[in-house]
Amino acid sequence: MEHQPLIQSVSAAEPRAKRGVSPTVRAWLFLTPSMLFLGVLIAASLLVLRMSVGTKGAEWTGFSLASYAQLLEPYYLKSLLLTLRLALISAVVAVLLAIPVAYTMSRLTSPFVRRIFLAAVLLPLLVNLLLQSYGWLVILGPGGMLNQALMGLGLIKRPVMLLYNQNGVLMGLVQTAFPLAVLPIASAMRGVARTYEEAAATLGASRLQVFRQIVLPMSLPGIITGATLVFAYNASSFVVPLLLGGRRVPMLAVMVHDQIAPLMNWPAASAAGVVLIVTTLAIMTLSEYFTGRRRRRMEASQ
Amino acid sequence: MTGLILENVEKHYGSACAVKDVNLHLPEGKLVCFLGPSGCGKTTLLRMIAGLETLTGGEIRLDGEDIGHTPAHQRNFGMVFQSLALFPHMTVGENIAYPLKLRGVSKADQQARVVELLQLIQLQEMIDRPVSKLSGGQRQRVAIARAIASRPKILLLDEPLSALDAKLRESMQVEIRQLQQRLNITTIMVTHDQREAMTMADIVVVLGEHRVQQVGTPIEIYRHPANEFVADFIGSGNIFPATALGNGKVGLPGGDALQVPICSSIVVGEKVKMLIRPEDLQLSHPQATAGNRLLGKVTFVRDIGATIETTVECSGVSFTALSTPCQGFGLSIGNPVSVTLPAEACRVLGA
Amino acid sequence: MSTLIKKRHSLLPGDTGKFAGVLSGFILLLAVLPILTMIVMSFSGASNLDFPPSSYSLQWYKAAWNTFVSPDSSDVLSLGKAMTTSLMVACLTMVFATIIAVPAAYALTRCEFRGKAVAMQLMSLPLVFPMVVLGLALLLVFDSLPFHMTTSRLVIAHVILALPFVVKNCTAAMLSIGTEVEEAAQMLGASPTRAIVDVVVPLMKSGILAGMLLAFIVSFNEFTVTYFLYTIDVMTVPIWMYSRTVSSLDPTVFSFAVLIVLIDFVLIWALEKLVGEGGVSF
Repeated sequence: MEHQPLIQSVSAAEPRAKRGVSPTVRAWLFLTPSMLFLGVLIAASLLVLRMSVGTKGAEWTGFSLASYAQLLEPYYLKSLLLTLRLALISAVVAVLLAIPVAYTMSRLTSPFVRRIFLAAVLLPLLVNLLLQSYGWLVILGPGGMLNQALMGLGLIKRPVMLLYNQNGVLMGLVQTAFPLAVLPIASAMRGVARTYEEAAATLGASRLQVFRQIVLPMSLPGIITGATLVFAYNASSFVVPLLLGGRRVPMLAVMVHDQIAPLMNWPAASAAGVVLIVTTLAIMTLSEYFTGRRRRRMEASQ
Repeated sequence: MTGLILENVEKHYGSACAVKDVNLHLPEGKLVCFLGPSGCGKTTLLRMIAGLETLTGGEIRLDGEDIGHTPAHQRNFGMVFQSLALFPHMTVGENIAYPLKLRGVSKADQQARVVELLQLIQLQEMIDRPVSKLSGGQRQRVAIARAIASRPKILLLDEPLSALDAKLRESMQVEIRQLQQRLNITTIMVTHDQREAMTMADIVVVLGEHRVQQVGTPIEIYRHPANEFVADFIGSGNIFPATALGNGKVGLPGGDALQVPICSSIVVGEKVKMLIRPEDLQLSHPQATAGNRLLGKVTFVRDIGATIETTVECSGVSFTALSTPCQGFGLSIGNPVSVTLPAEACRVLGA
Repeated sequence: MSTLIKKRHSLLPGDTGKFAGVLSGFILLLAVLPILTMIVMSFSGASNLDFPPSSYSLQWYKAAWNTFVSPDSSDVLSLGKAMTTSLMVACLTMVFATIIAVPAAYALTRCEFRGKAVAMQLMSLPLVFPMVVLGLALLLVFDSLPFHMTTSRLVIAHVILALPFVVKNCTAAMLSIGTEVEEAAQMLGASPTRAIVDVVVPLMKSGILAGMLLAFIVSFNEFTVTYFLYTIDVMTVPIWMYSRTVSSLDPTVFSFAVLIVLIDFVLIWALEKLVGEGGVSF
């Protein structure tokens, strides 16, 4: 049966109304409650921004850049550099430590071991920062575990001061942000299908070569995400430098708090806060740019 | 006018065209196959009929009424998805009863209908089984039962058999066909397997390059393909170029002339594409070229057991002939052989 | 002379080698070291912070129990109150975070719309947003409001912090369900909303539950933002513990700590059973 000649539709029915709302509107409707809460974050940033250009005593009405000028003083500048340095080092170390763990996690088969691994990975992130800092106090103290171990191994003669200085803080930073590095890397590695490793093996690559030349490069977006998350999370870290660094490791977040209590200098606190926000956003944007570019290149090649 | 009518239907995603210029009239009670290679738009078309995609242009009418703006859940079409989409958190019975539950059918009537359908598909004892415990063929049948539970006007099947292995697929093809005929329900099936379409369909709609290439019964499409695309897609064919010489004669690249059915629309000197099916070619002991019997040389032999495919090069064209073992006479590569192209088996494409 | 060679079980490409496994185990041990240390310390029989403890006893647990039941009203009251507050805030956070996360997850997985990428990025924002700034800002806002909102401001802050976890969880759950069952339900006659309720939500149950648990854990353990927002009568357990150790580190804290870690561990384990790894991703 050949297709029939066109039938002119001469129906006199009126055009029916367009069905429903556009998908964009519907989607954003669903997202509204979440956006409201996230909006609080945005509003908070704006508030802090406004406060940072206020003056002490006339917080909402005054306008002055004195607080920012104050930030350029050596004391604050040191704090900013310290924060960035510690955040960067902790990001690198955390990622290095995360890679083997993430790789193992992504290739595990036994569900029980997987659960233990995941619990062990999640605990540092979720358990009270306070409690973990107490644990660190015990480990890093002069009579603590680490010093005893080092002395026992004969590496040092007298206890090393690990507490209340940058080293202790660094260790705390790495340990608490470690899960933030592991999870995205594990997720990326899981995405590297086993068949790629098998193909490389048939082409003659050793296990180490397969890992370095196939798995790692293909997991790079996850690695970048992990490093970014750790950096941003640690740049604004508060509890760890407070408890493990005492007064000696003034990271930016601690500065912010100090300006509030006891100084009650809201504008100064806000200025420091703004710097924190800007740093975080800059890092996130940069990393998104790089991973996005890479993703597009990889998609184009497929 | 009854039946399903598609008029000037088209679908674009942004600037990319999925399907266009679709004009079809699908009569009631028939099994229609949308057949075509992947990406030709057949599934998009089916989903538009189902209401799961919007139309960019054109109209779909059922029994005279425009259903283009009716949401999917109000069209009362049954659909079987490629992945079957059986609800994992419900038992077999609950799956089949679901459409009835939605329509407010009483529990007793639901039960009766479920039992009736399970008997139809011969899975009576599975009524309380969770769907994860079923085999592939059983899940297939439950999916169909669920789709027809509410006695829909049209049944839509989206490559329903692609996940099954070959043997099961063949038996399911027959089962589905028999079920459809028994219930006399209008059915539209999407497939890329032309053997499946040939086995099951009353009408085949061949889609290619985002438009309808031909509509007809399986045999019509096989014997009288409308153009090169259809000829190439359906069955295996020998498609070769030729030049029209007038009076029903065409010239082959190698110089020989063939007598073919007269086609009034072709002018002398026009370049055409010809089709002859492998099973129509006749091989014989090598003799000089005469009439439609060409002399050539064997370039490849494939003995698949039930049939033998012999590729012969003659007059500048490579033909593949199909023969059964008892017809053959032990050819091997390099042997000279004569190939006869019966005139009535030669078809000019696109005329 | 037997030529039986015991074949070494050779590693296939893609398996985890022993080296990687041992290394990972070691690193993980380091990751939970502070927690393990605390657990050990809680059983210490000495009254100093030496590690390893010179003796073991349950004295700190006894002391902690005494704090609970002691006639010293201030202690009991504040701990009891802190516990109640913590639980209440955590439960409210759990409920609200889930209520707003599920539709958000639906929108992010099922719908194609402009600004989708931006929305997804925004969902991760609370993770990296400087918590001190959040605390500061919330303090500014709430202090300038004419009315007092003590518990609710904690809940609001905690919901914001828990949101990324819950949304990621729910999106992973929804992605694994696939659109075809939803479309199938619609073809069978269910309106789009009915299809979600009848098919998607039941299949997502474990994912939603996992998200709720995560929200609870996050809220229960939260310290930084809460530190900015607490008042004398609205205190959570972490703040209570901090207040007790500001002057000197009292090992009683360790026994409480162990309790909290235990709760956390049990919750995470339950989480795991529900969704496995896929649900907890960034």
